[in-house]
Amino acid sequence: MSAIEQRSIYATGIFWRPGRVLAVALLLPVLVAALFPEVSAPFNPQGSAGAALTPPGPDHLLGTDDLGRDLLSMLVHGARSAIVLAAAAVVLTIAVGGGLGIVAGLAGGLADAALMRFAEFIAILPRLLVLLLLATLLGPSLELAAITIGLMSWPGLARIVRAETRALKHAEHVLAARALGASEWRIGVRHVAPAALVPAFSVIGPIATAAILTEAGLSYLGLSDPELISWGDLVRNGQRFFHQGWWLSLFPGMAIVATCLGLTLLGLDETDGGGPHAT
Amino acid sequence: MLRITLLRSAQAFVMLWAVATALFSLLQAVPGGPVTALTGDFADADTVARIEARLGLDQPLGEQYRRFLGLLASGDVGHSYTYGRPALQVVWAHLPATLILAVPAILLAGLLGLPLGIRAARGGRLSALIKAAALIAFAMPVFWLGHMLRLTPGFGEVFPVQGMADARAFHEGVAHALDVAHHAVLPCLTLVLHQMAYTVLITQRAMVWQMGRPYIRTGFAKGASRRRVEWHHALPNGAAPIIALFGNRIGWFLSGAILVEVVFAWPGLGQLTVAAIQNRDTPLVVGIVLVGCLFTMLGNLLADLAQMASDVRLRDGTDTA
Repeated sequence: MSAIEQRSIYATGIFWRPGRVLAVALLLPVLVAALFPEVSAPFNPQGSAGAALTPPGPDHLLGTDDLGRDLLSMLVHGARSAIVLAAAAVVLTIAVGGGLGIVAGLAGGLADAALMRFAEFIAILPRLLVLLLLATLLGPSLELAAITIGLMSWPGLARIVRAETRALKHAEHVLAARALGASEWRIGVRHVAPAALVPAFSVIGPIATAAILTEAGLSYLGLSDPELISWGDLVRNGQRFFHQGWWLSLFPGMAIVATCLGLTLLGLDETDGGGPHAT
Repeated sequence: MLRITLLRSAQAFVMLWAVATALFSLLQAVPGGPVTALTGDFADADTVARIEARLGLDQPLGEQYRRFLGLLASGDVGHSYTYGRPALQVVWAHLPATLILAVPAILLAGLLGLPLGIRAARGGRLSALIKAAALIAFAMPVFWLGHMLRLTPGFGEVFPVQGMADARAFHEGVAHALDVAHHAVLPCLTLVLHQMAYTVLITQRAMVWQMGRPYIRTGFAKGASRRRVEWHHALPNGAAPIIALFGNRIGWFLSGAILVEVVFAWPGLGQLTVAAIQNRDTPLVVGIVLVGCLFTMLGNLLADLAQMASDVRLRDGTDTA
């Protein structure tokens, strides 16, 4: 590697691109809200904090809902649900998609074909509808939504990782490891995974965005976790009162857009044109 | 092409079987078994007995499974409690309203999204603007987008925001069609914007990649215009991934259509879904989900075939990379 290529990533401007800065600006408040809801929420989100349907003002920055609950406090607590959901979906996607992609790529043959057909099957299932069925049969909960979304998000990554693995399979360092007598398992974990999993970084944004939007849709249909606050459910409730309180549907929607836009921008590589990957 | 078409159709059938099997296992896995899953905790003895007889719950599991597949194959997913009719009949009855919205929306999104995506790949101010708008629309929950359009000054006054036809006037023939079209404007616009955002982003991505390749330089060197290079050289080569991603997105689009219907009280599958959830009409929910899966697979199959028609390399079925 030449000296020029070794310049710090700060100097090459990977961090200081307008898209990245905007992404951090959008996501930072959401993260703070999710990590420290007790500090950043002025009121108890479940209890009455003032008169019902108070417009945004000094006492209630974003107004109150039909039961007098403080909207800002509800949004702050809703951020926690959104972040937990997105994180679970991303972790499951990388674990399942990365794992199966490497196995399929290394194994080849029948196992490869079967795994890829299975991935295709999962990829075309309509997520919201599957979630709808599960929530109806098993009762709605955030855990159910997070696990289901996570277990349905991996095929796109599996396909990419498999392609990387197939390319790496005959790379010299892998051949060398094989010549030294390394087991398939060791080759997969130590020699293939570190390189094959690099594309996982690029799917974090799209996966998290899709997870949050799917859960918002489910909540909008009335199947949110009854014990937690969900932004989609807040939009649903706000729409019932949009004649009396425009703020009730406007701000929760803006919270979703800000978070999803931030996540999408974070994963955008501006050199390749930018845009969602196959998820 | 015929061979691969048949192969793909056979695969779609295998997938339907997989969905049915998953549903069967799910019903078994619910605490209390299929009866509790389908009726909740407060069913009367009559209903319970009827369901037990229909699903053959006194039979061994293998026999139950065969019977379940037979019922699904004959299009029987049970009776809707709220409608008192076979659930699939209810779903089919609501399907046309959804298609009236969804089909024009997906066509318009393609027709408008493709040129915009190609334009956005050129670079410059306008491209950045198109891309920014697409990224923002992409991050929006579709139901909120519809709600915001409804609240936009002007829109809510000019276009109806609820229902499919004027409830106070009885139009017939052409007047009725125009009335429905008038009511469809806002929900359709919402869906178009929702789907178009994605179309623009994937088209732009595919085009940027194609336009940087050497054969494009050859095209320009021959003296071809920019438009010709984009539409006749780059687009056909970039079409396969665009169609593939479009196909993968069909389930997402259908979900969007359901959500938009709820916003605008459009009497299709979306309204039916919300009613089924609120009334705990589980057989109806099962019917809706199965029909949704069926349409997703059908759409995906069509996208697959279109992709093969656009790319010779995919036709022999050997190139799976």
